[in-house]
Amino acid sequence: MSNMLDMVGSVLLFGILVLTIGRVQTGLNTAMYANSFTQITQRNAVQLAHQLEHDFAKIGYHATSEKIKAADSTSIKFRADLMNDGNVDDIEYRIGTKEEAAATMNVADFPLYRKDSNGEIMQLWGTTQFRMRYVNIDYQQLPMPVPSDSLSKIYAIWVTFVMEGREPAGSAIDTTYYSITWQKLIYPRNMGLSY
Amino acid sequence: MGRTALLLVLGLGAAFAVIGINLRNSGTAATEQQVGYHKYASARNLARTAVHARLRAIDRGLSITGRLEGEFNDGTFYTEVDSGATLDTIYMDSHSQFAESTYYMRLKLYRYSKPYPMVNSAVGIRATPVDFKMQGSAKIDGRDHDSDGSLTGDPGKPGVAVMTTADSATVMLNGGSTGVVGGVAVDTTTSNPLDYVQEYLSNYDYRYTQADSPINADITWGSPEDPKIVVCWTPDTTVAVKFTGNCEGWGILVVHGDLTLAGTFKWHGLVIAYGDESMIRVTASVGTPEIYGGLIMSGGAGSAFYMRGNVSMNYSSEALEQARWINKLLAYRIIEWYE
Repeated sequence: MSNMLDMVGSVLLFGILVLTIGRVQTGLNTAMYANSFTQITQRNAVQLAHQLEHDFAKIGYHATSEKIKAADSTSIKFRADLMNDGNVDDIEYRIGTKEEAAATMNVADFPLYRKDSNGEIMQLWGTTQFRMRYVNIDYQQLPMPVPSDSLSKIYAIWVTFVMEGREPAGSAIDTTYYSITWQKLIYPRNMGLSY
Repeated sequence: MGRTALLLVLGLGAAFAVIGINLRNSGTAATEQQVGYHKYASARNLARTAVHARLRAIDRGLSITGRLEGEFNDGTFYTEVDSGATLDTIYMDSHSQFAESTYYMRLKLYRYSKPYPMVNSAVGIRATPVDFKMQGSAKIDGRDHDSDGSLTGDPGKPGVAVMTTADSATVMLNGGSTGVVGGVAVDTTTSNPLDYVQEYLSNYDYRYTQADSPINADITWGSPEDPKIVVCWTPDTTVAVKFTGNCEGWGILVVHGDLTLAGTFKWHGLVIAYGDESMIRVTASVGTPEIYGGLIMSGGAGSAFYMRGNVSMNYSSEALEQARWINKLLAYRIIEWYE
């Protein structure tokens, strides 16, 4: 009888232990996913920030005319010698549609397109917002799209983007996405204005 | 049973350890992303700080060319200027390091002088009516001189410029007809010093008050290569600042209030005597004071300009140009900025 009680007790304890471990495993998996996606989202945000700062800081470098060819809230086209090798290239940024980002599980993100003389690249960072505003030397916001006669008056560019994870944080059916907001006032100092 | 339990516990322990390490690594990686961007941003800011530090050093006449190192906020930076700042174009490289992040910038800057109160005569008077007297061997010479006082051969400018025809007649009647070389002109474009003096008052190299007057010593302010800003400030514009003794200076002399020149005072550049809207007096009657450049007197109605003895005021485009290029009054415009 005593042995029987021991066996039943052992089975119960084992069952409780297995269930507990299962719960812990689920929790740990969620935490690991969260950490991974946070890390990925952060890394993407940092890389996009680097890229935008690298390109926008050089707007107009070695360009003798039409330093900025077009500027709108979600697109910009400018000229710059990005590699400092004497070759002035046309650079263009624009956003795509959500449908064009079907490869990601996030239904809110859209691709960012970057075009230079080597062609256009679709970048799936997980951007869910991408907005630019332009100010003149008096920090007055210029209308958008910026009229052609005001393009040469662009003194600084407010760039804001929100980036979310391309996959949900928990599981495939989860709707939680980790997000990061980045904002910066970038001064393209080759516009020929007083800085 | 006991052995099984022990193995189970050890297995669980090992599993939790692996999971814990993974979690920590993941957290560390996320932190590194943030810290990495912080290092990058810090290095970038340091490089920009280095540019500003270098330009301020150039403004002070230090480290015009070559390499200048510095450190700030646990980071290091240096700048290299490979073209002389005596030219109006500066090529500058800026390097910085914060932790293991480095940043590089290359700039091409155009250096230019800010708007400057031009005087189109040896003496420009912005006070009407003016009380003008010139006696003895006093001389105002509008012919162009070099900054040392030799004639350049250029006809130069009028000797005196006033605001109205009546003031012109006053000058001619009170000694101007014999003591002024280059004639008396009516010129309402003589710069208003009030538009400029605030910057000079904020950027002076030497400052005197009425408590220092008379300034009677062997003093040298600046040099032809390094002109200075000398400010004399009297809150009460009826109180004179008097220069006597063996004084010589290059640059811009700004006097708020009455100005009295004596001794062997010699100035190469621009002299501004102003009194806001108050009446002021510019007097030079003893000794052999000399000015090579230009003088602007700006004050209220009835402001007085008295000269006698052996004083001489001479127009010098060269001395005015030297004063215009005082380092700390220069501004920079970006021609190229690569980062």
